[in-house]
Amino acid sequence: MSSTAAVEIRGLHKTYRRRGRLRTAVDRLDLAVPQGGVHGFLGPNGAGKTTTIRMLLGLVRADSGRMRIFDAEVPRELPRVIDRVGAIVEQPRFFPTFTGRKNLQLLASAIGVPRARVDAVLDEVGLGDRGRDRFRGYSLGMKQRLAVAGTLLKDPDLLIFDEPTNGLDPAGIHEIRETMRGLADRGKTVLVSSHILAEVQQVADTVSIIGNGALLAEGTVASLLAGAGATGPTARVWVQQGERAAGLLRDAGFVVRPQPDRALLVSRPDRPLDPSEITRTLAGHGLYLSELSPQRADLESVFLGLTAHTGPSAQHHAGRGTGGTGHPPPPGDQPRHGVDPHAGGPR
Amino acid sequence: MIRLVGAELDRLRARRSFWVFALAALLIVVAFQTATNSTLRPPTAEQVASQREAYEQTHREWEQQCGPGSPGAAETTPAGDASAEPSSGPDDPDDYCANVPEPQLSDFAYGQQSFADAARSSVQISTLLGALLAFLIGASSIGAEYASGAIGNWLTYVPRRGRVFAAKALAVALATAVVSAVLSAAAVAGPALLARGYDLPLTGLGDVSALAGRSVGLIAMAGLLGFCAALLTKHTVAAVGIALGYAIATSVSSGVLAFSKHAEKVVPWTPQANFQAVLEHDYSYQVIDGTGFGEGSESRTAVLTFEHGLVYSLVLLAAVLAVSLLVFRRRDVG
Ligand SMILES: Nc1ncnc2c1ncn2[C@@H]1O[C@H](COP(=O)(O)OP(=O)(O)OP(=O)(O)O)[C@@H](O)[C@H]1O
Ligand SMILES: [Mg+2]
Repeated sequence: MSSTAAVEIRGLHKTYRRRGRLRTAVDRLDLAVPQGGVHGFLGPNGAGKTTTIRMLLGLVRADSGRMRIFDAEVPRELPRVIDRVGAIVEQPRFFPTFTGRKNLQLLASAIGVPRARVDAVLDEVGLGDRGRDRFRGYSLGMKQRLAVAGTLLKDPDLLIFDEPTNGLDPAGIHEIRETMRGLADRGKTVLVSSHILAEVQQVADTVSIIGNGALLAEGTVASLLAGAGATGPTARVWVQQGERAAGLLRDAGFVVRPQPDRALLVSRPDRPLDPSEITRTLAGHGLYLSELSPQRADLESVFLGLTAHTGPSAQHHAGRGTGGTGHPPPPGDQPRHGVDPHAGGPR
Repeated sequence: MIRLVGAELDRLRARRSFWVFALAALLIVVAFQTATNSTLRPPTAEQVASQREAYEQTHREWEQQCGPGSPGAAETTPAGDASAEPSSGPDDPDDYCANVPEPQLSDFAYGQQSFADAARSSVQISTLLGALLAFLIGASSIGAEYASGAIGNWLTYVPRRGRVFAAKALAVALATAVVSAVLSAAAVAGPALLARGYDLPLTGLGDVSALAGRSVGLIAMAGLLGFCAALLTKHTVAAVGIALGYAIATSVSSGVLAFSKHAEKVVPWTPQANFQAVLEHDYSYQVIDGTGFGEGSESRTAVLTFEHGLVYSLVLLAAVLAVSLLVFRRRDVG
């Protein structure tokens, strides 16, 4: 294992037994999170993101595989590096009847951080004036911020956020994104899991995409998008007599998806899309375009292409570890198996 | 480690239920002192008067029945009561007078206890209450962590589970020991103050103090058992269920054993008897030899020694702690 990675996972495996039935949550997963920057850890619901993070933090036992955080073999050497790691797993979980401040004070005294730091981190996340309210009475966003404040107590080098924007409003999502970016800009490593790509694409430097517990793709956002681009992006076409145009384009070998606003999304699965080909085909039949705009490929389509067949109930996906070779469906394709419907369409 | 114990103690102290349980137990122990007061207090003039009155009335009745010139004393049966003659029924004055001695004033005296006896009952009550309270404190402290999921968060800050377990257990033991020390002190101080007020000698104070000291140990142990029960089941309520089940099983088994010739084989291995042996420094119980009833059966007293009780209790506690630690170390935290 290289020593430059913040997190490195090899062959991680975990099977849960529920009422006598075995369910593989993480399937020989390989993962590498480079030091510095934001790393998106992506996968549909039930892909095994939370389970992986739990194993990394020693909360759940792995069946097999090796994990490393910085230079420490975990979970064996976790105590040695835990001061450099801050984590929020799933929901922020604190004592509901204690105030936010009391909750942090307890954590601070357990890890030997001066109590004065509690007020500092509360201010940092904007909870300074609500610190004396009970945790129970916090809104979801406040709970999330308290959890972030908790991770900042020890000024860690690696922050692990599991779906940190779950249930937050746009302002809250923006705030979390800013926080993650700010931490990365200060040289920290942020590992953020999500099934909502829109939020990760904007902030992540590198990503890993998993499905059914196994790695499907990894790399920088740019390289994954370039991989998607190679199979041809999509063009948005607006033309009178849309139905006739669609038929003509299909005859010419294009893939055409009519849109609700009567525009057509046109792509070419066999080779890179050449817009002039569309113009030529239609003009040859007396149809003239009123609009033709290229649609930027986004991570969403890469993701959907990779994970379309790896929903919670789907069979294991064969290919893995090959960056961006999946065939992305055109943007605007509806999310399939278990992918959050709020994930958003093309932008 | 000291840091961790400090944090756990701080958490226990911040829990409202801790104070509610502790205060409730203290209030009951204090309230119990009114009962202690009535056993230690010398009778008031009013009580002496009513005692005298009760005596006199009973004596009058006795005299009418059995005194000189009464039917019982004349040794005659009431005229026309021929049918009653062969057998002497319970109302037969003759029989009645033979069995009932002349009432004495001392029979009507208020039972005034010694300080030692009063303090002993007081400490026994406080031990029972304290053990219940400590079990609840121990169980709810960890039960709340599982209920809220805060335990998972906690472990991401302090991943050394062995230490986390030790710190939590130690904090429960310390906190319950402090509370039970207050309870025990109140349970002894109450009778002592009352006895002084009535000019009674504090004989046996040393023994009672030792009893109170052993009570503190037992209560802390109850706290640890509650902690382990809730840790193993992950639920405060389940731990309370275990305690209830134990209480029921104990009362049933002690009822069964009271009439059993097997008592001597079984009793030394029941937790209850051993806890008693620790608390009371030796525990005596009745054993019936023979069939258990009627002729040929003889009841005798057997003793479970303090040492037996102590070793038993410590081994039990160590075993429960060890199993809990093992489970806590290996268990996935979701
Ligand atoms: N404690 C558990 N017992 C049994 N099965 C579990 C347990 N935790 C997770 N699983 C199963 O493991 C699989 C992976 O779950 P996990 O929570 O890791 O997914 P995820 O990627 O975090 O999903 P999401 O995006 O919904 O949070 C799922 O099929 C889930 O049902
Ligand atoms: Mg999850």
